[in-house]
Amino acid sequence: MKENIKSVVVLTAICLVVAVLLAYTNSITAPIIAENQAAAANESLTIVMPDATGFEDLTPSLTLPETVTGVYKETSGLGFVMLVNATSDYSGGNPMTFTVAIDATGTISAVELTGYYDSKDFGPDYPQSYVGQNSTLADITLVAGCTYSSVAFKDSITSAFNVLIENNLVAEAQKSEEQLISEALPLALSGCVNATNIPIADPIEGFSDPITQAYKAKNNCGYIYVMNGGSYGSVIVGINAFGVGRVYSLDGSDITADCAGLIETAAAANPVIATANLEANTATVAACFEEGAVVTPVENLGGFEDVTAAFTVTVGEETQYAVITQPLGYGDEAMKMLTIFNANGEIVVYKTLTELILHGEYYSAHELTDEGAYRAQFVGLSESTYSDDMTLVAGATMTANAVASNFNSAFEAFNLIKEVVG
Amino acid sequence: MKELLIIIMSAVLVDNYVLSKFLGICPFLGVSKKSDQAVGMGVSVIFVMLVATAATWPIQTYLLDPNELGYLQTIVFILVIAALVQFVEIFLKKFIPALHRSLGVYLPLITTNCAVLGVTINNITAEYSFVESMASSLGCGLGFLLAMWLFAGVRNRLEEADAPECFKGIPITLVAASIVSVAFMGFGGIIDKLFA
Amino acid sequence: MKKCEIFSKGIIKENPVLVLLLGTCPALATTTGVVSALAMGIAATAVLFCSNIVISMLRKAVPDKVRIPCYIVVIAGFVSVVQMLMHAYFPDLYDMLGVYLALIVVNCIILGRAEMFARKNGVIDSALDGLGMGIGFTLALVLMASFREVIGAGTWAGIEIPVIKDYAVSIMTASPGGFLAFGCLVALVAKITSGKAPAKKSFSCEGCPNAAACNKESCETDVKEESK
Repeated sequence: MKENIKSVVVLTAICLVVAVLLAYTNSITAPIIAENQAAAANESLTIVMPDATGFEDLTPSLTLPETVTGVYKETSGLGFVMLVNATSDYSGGNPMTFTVAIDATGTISAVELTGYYDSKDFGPDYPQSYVGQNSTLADITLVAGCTYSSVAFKDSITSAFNVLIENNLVAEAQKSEEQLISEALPLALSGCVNATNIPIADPIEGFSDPITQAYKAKNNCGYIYVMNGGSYGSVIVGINAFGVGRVYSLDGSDITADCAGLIETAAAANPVIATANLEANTATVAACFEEGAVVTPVENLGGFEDVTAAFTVTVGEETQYAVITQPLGYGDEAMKMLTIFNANGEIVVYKTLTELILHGEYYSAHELTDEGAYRAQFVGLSESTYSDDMTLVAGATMTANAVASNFNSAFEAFNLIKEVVG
Repeated sequence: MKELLIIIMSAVLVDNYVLSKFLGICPFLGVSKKSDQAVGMGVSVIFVMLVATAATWPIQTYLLDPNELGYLQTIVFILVIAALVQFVEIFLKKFIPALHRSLGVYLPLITTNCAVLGVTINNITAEYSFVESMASSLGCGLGFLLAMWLFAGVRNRLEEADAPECFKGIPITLVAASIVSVAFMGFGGIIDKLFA
Repeated sequence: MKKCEIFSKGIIKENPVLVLLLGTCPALATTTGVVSALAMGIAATAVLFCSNIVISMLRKAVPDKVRIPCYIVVIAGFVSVVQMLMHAYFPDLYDMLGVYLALIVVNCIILGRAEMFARKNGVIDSALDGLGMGIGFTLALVLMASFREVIGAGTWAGIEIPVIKDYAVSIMTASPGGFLAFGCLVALVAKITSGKAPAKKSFSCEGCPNAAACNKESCETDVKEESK
């Protein structure tokens, strides 16, 4: 019994002594550890703002978009450091992470990539092209060959700026008219816009007031005009391949209803594309049918995607609908495809009129996909049974996107034709 | 549920405590000569890991952290584990003597098995919730059992092997462990693919 | 036993890692690089040295029944102190060693020396024993880490070695390399000493916390008989 008590006393005493010793050591080391940790946490911030004296963490007090994970205010008023990430389709859900320093005047003073997983690298120089930019990001170009990453990167930077602007931490920079126009251009005619949101169109000559700029889509889906819209200032007018138009103001709103006159002027400025290519397209469609089928062009069809011609075909009692699209594929080259629907909206024919680049977009040794089988899988589908996932071909993303674009435009066109023709 | 499965599977296959994190090497080398002993040891470790995690996680979360006593973690955890093992042994001896007979010999040495202390500390540093901690402990224990059991099979064959004189005994066992470890390296990335 | 011998035996003749095969977990886990091995060695040596002294001082006060818990408390206390100091003054090393730093608590060498030596010997002898064993442990770790880092990464303590750098066998720094390097070094030591070194069984089972089960399984039959 006595021995038991002694055991308990000794063990308790040792525990107490050790606990006191630990508490004492902790009281010495805890502040140093806390200081180290704060310094380590700030290290990533001071990389982009070397003159910083300290940072105040604003993150908890702000509502942040998914792409912004941290906002820190430099305590002496130099500006802000933001932790930003961007996910692109290519990186498979692994975000790029980077740290951006934005000075008090709203100009990017440094960008540092902290994590990068994308297989298609836009290189270390690209982020540096953002240094010196304000919230308009006016001089930023996207990188061909890794469009997804650079688009994601740019969008993330924009969202970082928006956080500061919305919380009145920096003033929004005014965009020049030129930048506003180039940003609004893709709105009017979405059919000729590539993956980096740039319209693929050639400037054309021979226009007069109120038209100030004119472009013809390389894939023949229509024209884009910049026009003097009176009280709206400059406006963007898109005219599709059938001569139907719509109008956007520079702030991105659809003002078609107010601008019928402008559309009329724009539509008259150049020949209607579907009409100009009528003969060749009719022959293409007719070739898919037996003799005796009546191929009638559809006129004044709406929609601003990549549809360049549409026909109704009467075979005996039955009416079918043919849509020719010219989606942008690999290298922003226009492809040409023909989709024919029956009256129920089911695909009966899907033909590619240009070569499908289903292999070798990136890797010349990529396994050849059986193009016939690939095309055949779409026959019999209707809008409700089709999904973009069916178009996917590994290693041929651009082409697959073009095919998906074709079907989406074709379904839209089919619905519009049914409205027009009945 | 998927998260728990990921935790368990990666603890068993990818971050195997014995073969890739080198925790619990002593029993791995010491008690893996016969497969029944290896399994007995493995089962005991799983059991103790689960009990230890069930005890240490609440202590850390509700006792140490709120009182800023995190620096007592090591000392508290090892004492709790030691006491638990004693308690479990007494309990088994009294109430389930059959189980005590088969597992009893392994219990004392589990006290100082670094895998048990390792898993309890890891659960805290990984900031797992209670359920995740239990899953991680189960996974680590299963991984330990798997490594022990497989290695017992390897050692069985090793008995017959004609190793160079200086390699006889522990050295050749370590070389064999190295090869088993290479096999487990092959699981790298399997979790991402399985649950992608 | 002469003081000098007490100190030196741990370094070579009874080297805890390579001869006695104690402390295998840190020997495998922290020897991917020379720096972390050295840090681990020094941390363990500090704990071993201090705990040996304290346990030797307490040897008459501590009742036999609760000696193991007492030792564990003392050792865990010193480990925590080392952890905190390292966290404060060498945060990089602290991060590098991670959980293995806390696991010094369950390092067989430390409890083993307490049980084997410190509780039976005077303070000075125990201190020398702890220091010697600690240095032996550190040397073994550094030796193994050098082997692994030079072959596996072509560097030594982060310094690049020309030529080898280009032919690095990275598996040596991965986990299989740990087992392989350890096996080879133990074999090498066995070859050099050609069996003259004391076998683990006749030496340290008493102190090894694994003894209870180990006696029955791995520490050969003669010990089993001995212990009966």
